Amino acid sequence: MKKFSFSFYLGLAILLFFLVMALFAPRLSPCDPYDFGRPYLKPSPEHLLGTNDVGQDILSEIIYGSRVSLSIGLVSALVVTVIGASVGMISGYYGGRCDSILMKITSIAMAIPSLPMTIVLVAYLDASIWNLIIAICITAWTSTARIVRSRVISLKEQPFIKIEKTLGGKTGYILFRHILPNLSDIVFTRGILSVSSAMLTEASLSFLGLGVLGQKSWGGTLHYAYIRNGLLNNYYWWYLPPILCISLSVLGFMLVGSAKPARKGESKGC
Amino acid sequence: MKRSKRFLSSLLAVVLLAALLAGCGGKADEPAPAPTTAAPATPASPASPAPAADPAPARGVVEELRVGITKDIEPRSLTSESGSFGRMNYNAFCAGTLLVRDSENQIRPNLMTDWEIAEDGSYIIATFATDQGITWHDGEPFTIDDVIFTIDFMNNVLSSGYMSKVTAVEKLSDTQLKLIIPDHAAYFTLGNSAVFVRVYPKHIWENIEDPKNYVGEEATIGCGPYKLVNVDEEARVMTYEAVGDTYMGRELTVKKVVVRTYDSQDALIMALINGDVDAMNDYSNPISATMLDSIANVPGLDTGKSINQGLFEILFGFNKQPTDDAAFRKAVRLALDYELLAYTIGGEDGQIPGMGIISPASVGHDPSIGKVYRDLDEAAAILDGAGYVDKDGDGYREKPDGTPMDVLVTPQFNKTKAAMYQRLAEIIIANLDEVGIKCTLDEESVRNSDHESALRKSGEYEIVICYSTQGVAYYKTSYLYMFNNPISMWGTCTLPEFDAAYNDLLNALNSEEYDKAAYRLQAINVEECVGIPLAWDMAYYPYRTDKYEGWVNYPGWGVINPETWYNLHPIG
Repeated sequence: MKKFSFSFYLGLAILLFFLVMALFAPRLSPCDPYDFGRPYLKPSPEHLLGTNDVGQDILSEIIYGSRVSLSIGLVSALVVTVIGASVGMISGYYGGRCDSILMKITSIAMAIPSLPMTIVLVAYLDASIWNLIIAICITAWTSTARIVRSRVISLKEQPFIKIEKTLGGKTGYILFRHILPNLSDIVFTRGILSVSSAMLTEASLSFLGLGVLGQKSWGGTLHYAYIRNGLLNNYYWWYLPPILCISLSVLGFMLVGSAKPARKGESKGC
Repeated sequence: MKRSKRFLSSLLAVVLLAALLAGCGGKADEPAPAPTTAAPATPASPASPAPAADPAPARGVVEELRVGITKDIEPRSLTSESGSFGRMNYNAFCAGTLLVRDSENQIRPNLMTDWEIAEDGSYIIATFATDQGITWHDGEPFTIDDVIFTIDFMNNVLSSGYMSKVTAVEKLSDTQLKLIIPDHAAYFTLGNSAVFVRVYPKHIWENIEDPKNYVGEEATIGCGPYKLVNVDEEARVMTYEAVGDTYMGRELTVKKVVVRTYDSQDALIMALINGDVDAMNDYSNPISATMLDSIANVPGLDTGKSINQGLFEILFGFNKQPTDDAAFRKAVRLALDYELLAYTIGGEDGQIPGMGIISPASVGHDPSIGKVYRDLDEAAAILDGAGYVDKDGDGYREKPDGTPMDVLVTPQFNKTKAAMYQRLAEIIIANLDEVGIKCTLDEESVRNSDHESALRKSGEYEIVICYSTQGVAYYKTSYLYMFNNPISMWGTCTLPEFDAAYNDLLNALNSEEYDKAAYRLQAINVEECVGIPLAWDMAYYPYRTDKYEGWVNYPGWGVINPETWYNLHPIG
């Protein structure tokens, strides 16, 4: 059984914290985050993180916000990983003209500045969670495709793949039965890192006011804290929690994604 | 169960708070108190008095007044009102305006030094300062031909509405003109054009092929007390110098004015706090009440509080169902949470408005009209009575003919006020949801100014949240936006009595007739609910008090106004 480093378990704990927060949001939230009340209240036993500019409970906003932020992050990462891995596998395995065409497309997609492109797409598409995901995914799959392709090129020269080909193994069988399992660590790592990247993009878009209107998300909370002068007035209970949540969840995904199983003796410095 | 829920939420909050408090040792500003629970008896207080000007003659002059603005340094042309140059000219600054207003909102002479209105309002005999040695900033003399050219130029080339009621001009002498106004709207024409109408130099503009888009150097030549001498595109600063020691016989106490453009009001406020600028100028865009905490205790900085004539309001589209139905409109008026709206718009100074819309700061306000109020039961009863009932059991009411009802709520597009509009839309949609009216936010209009503008102008909207500006409040009232006439551009109200009352307002011959028509409009609004005011509030235009004295804070306008150039002196 693999033994993981401390950072992996720390990352996992952070992610579990936010996952529980998202899953049990209705039970954890002290208030309905959409209910209006007394604006600009500072933290008190009734509103532990105070209220925003229209009197909505900030803690409840943060708890519900985890749902939008995490779901956009996870779904985007899944799409990005599937597309990136598929392109990389096909390109690396078939090589030749197929590889050339796919890599040219990848290079073009990589050359597009992702955040401005995403902003333009979101501005022109109807605002919805799905359109946000599409906008995030459209340029985010490229690095996964490149890395997977490199590994596949290396793998297809391995004796066990050559033997499979010689024995008449079908392409699909070889790709999914023999190559994909050997890509699992890369795909997993890229997938996990894609979640954090997608969450940051979503937060950036929402902060810029391009998120889904009326939906509670961490970026959206930060957007209103900024635009309604929470920063200017130093209402830190309004603007710091979403920043912390975004940072911690991204850190959690980074720690989990970049963790490698600890080797025996590693901790002893041998 | 409830205890465990509270425990869990407390635990979450403690985790988040513990993390954030570690990095936040600084003082936490006191948040604003709760909104008022009842409308105050007196709707508004007058403007906070600016320090009185010392009449002592030996005081010095202001060598350089620094003004902050959030409008771009382009376009720079007399024909434009949109940029920094255009907005500063509302203050009889570089451009010479025909008339100005005083702190009491009364029309005062400027380049039009005197006027006489015919008894039936069909003409104005106007006298101009063409004999006072005023010159254009390129040295050419200002003549009566420039005034004649200006009226023709505005009506026939720029298609401006300010002087559109003037159909002909007769030259009586080198200083006097007879302005012919066949539909008797002389009084309105003067009121409507004050502040905004500037004179154009004939020798320059008669030769320009595309004046609306011309931005050559000559486009900034005016005949006002200050001339543009330098533009720093990189720093976004424009420098103006006084044309002499006096202008039209009055001493100019400010020698140089530096106008710096800022990206946002946040940045402008920081500049004011740091003393980088002395005052701000932002027509119809006072700083948000949410910024007050950041400037409340800054030494040498006055919040510039005064009563606001501009206001947020709801317009109903009379071309669409159900907003063409008075019962529906009244139910909407009863469903809104005005305490929250007033606080969201105006902070602790926000007030629940009157049903007549017109703010107490504006001409024609009827103090006898009651405030708007919330009564969900009454709203529901009106809807039930008018046939808006939930027939399919989905929790939302259908139209009387049984078809589904989904009312589109369109916030006016405004970059500076975008967040405010979105918040107001959120509140209104949630409030109407409580009485079973399903509403949808017009997201396309939130993101796309062209879409919002086209929708408004087409009149195919249902509920529009808009802002009635200071200029409109002056002499057109907020009802302009509802008036179904080309001068309104977006009004759809088809009620004959409303139309008649607004026409009477336009054609009033004096202030008494104007007030009478304004009162009628307010009474009609109580009965028909053509529009709904969302709040009456205060305007804040902060300025520094540690260098200069003699500021006069025009209500809803600020300390940068036509009097600033003659009143300001260094302290001591």
